[in-house]
Amino acid sequence: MKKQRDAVLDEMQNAKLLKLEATGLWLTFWLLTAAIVVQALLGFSLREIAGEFIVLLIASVYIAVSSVKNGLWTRDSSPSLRASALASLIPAFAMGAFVIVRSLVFLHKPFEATLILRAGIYMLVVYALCFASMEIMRRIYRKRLDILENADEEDKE
Amino acid sequence: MLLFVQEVVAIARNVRIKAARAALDMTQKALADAVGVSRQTINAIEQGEYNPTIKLCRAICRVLGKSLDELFGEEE
Repeated sequence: MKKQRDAVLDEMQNAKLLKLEATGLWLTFWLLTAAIVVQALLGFSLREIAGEFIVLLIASVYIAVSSVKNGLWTRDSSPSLRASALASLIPAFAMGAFVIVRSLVFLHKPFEATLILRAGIYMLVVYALCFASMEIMRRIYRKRLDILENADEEDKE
Repeated sequence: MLLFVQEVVAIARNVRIKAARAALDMTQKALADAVGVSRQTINAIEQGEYNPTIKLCRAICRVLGKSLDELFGEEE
């Protein structure tokens, strides 16, 4: 089945199609993320956005696991403790902004100290979760890379 | 400087394949059919827009009766 599909396209067309598919994947990924954020801001319940959320989660896990399995991280950076610490700030601040914007703009609640406290707690939780996930993935990645790079020459891996 | 060198290599490659094809009075379509790819792929290789795999390079060399060095080797 796969052979038949491959035979239709030559190598350049195949490379072009892969590029288009990759662009399509990332476009879908970010649009889906945006859709979830907007729906959450508008007050949709978790049950109402569960479908999109599960799809995004499956896609994310697939990309992360298959990349690490193949000894790949990102195109332009190497994994490190510092990189994990810095990268985790992005979702943490995004979560903080989300909590504040949702409360003030969409739920029309007054600005109070408890809001800042709540946003801070959410930020800390998200930061800790992201940092822990990235560090676990980094350790698995390092182990996997070691196996791939030090495999016997006769081995397939 | 590196960009300039790359451009020169790409243009040279383009000219060499095109010249070898012209010597055999072969169109891009005929070469494409002979090596089993699309015409747009041959065109992209000649324009220096696509770097073919070694497998395709060898197929092109075989059809045009040239060595890898003659068609794809770096300029002296």
